[in-house]
Amino acid sequence: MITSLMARCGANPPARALFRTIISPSLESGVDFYWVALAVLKNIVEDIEGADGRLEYVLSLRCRLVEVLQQMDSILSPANRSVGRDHRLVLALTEGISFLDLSGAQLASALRFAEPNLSYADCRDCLLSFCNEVLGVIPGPIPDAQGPLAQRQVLRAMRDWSKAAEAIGSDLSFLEARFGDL
Amino acid sequence: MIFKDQIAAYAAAAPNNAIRNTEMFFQNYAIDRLQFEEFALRPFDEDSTTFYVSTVPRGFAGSKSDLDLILVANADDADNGISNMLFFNERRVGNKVIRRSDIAKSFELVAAALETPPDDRLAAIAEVNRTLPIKWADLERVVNGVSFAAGAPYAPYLGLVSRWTVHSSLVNYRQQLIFASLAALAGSPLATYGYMQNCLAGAMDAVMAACGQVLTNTKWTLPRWKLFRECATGNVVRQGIELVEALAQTFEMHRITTAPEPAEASTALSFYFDRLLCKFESKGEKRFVLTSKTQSHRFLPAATLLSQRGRNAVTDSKALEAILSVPCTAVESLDHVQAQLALDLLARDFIVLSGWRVVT
Repeated sequence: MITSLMARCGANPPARALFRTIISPSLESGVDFYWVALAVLKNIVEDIEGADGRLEYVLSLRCRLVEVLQQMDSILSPANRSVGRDHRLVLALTEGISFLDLSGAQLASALRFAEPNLSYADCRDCLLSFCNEVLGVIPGPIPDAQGPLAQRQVLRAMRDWSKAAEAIGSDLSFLEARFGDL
Repeated sequence: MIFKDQIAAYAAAAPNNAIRNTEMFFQNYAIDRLQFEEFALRPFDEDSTTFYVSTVPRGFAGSKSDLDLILVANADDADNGISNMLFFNERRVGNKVIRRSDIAKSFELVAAALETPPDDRLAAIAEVNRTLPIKWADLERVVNGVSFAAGAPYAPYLGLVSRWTVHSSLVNYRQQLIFASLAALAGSPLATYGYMQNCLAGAMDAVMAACGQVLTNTKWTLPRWKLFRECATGNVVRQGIELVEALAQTFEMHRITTAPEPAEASTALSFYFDRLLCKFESKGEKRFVLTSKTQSHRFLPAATLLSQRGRNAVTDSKALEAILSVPCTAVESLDHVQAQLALDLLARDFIVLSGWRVVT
């Protein structure tokens, strides 16, 4: 992590260490966080991998990635202060992503927002490295919602989450709509 | 409000383009089409017509793209919206069932909303957005889709889908422009840049939709625009492209440094939209308004506590009053602290800007 993109752009302490200090405010938030990671973040990674030389596409995905990180960040924030989709990109670039310990400027730098004429290869490589690091700092396995074993993995995760929710009286009914979207 | 000749030409070519794009996809990735279609239909026994939708018929599918299908079921009691995910040759296949009657009903609702008198049209569109029997994205996908064997029967609805998209894209363009103006007033070039990206996406979608080219998934807006600006014909359309490109260039140069005032920089483009596509204006004295579930605190003289769905914000009541008293089309009278506060409240849905009226 020391030589990672995040460290190079000034994130300190390393994100993994910081992530360990974050406690999800509720089971719902934790499940929601992992759901966005498995259903959206991983999907973006796959889209980047399959961009096939299209610069405009990876530039669009860069904005989408930032929006999703902001969404995950607001899920983990103590007051669950969700923001409208129109504002996610801006909030991330100005206020940063706290679960990654990145300020807005550091995030913009890590994803090379300030660099004009970025090539496709540079943009793609930068995004993939960044995404892999983000996935790496999230503790525990993130179920795979994209591959051939996706349904089994997602169902297993949902069963585990349901058991935990039942044990502590949490309500995970919001997952029903998310599952439909998936 | 749309370029009818452009839409007619695009709609006439769309079915053949979709058929060709689909054939090319199967050829390029060496997938046996007949084998695939047999495989894809196996789990379903409904009386239905199956469509290739999304990136494959549109020609954007790449090495890792999903093969998305919509099964249009003839039976009124078919299980609507059920979907499954399969894999064929290691490629993901998304299958979704939609009732034919729901598609027809959706077209009726969309057409009726677009025929609503200008004053009430945006409200009617918002209402229909909430009540469509199927998702808007699925309606767009089936219109731009091509069936396994019977061409593109919904292509004639491209004009309707385009008009709808012009409306929604221009509302998005106007709103993002206001957010960008607030960000510029607040002295944040990065925020201005971010909102202008959304604003430009709305402008691109509006120009493309006016020519019949609609795709709901916004991750494709930039790649589509690249192709569109290279191939578009007609002086009026080219003029629109040049105005959007000029605006994009202006803000591309100002990601970190102080950017120009967004509304001023986009005057020419806004005038173009007003004159040729759809003119909006502020409805009466409509201003930023507190959202319906948000209440200002009654007991704190110097601060206002805003609470919505358990989320709180404590803010200076005088600053809030200033924000709520300014017409949302004239935000330049706010100072930088008020502008930043307005953005914070907008982002968290404590206040909204609304009250647009369609003029033409």
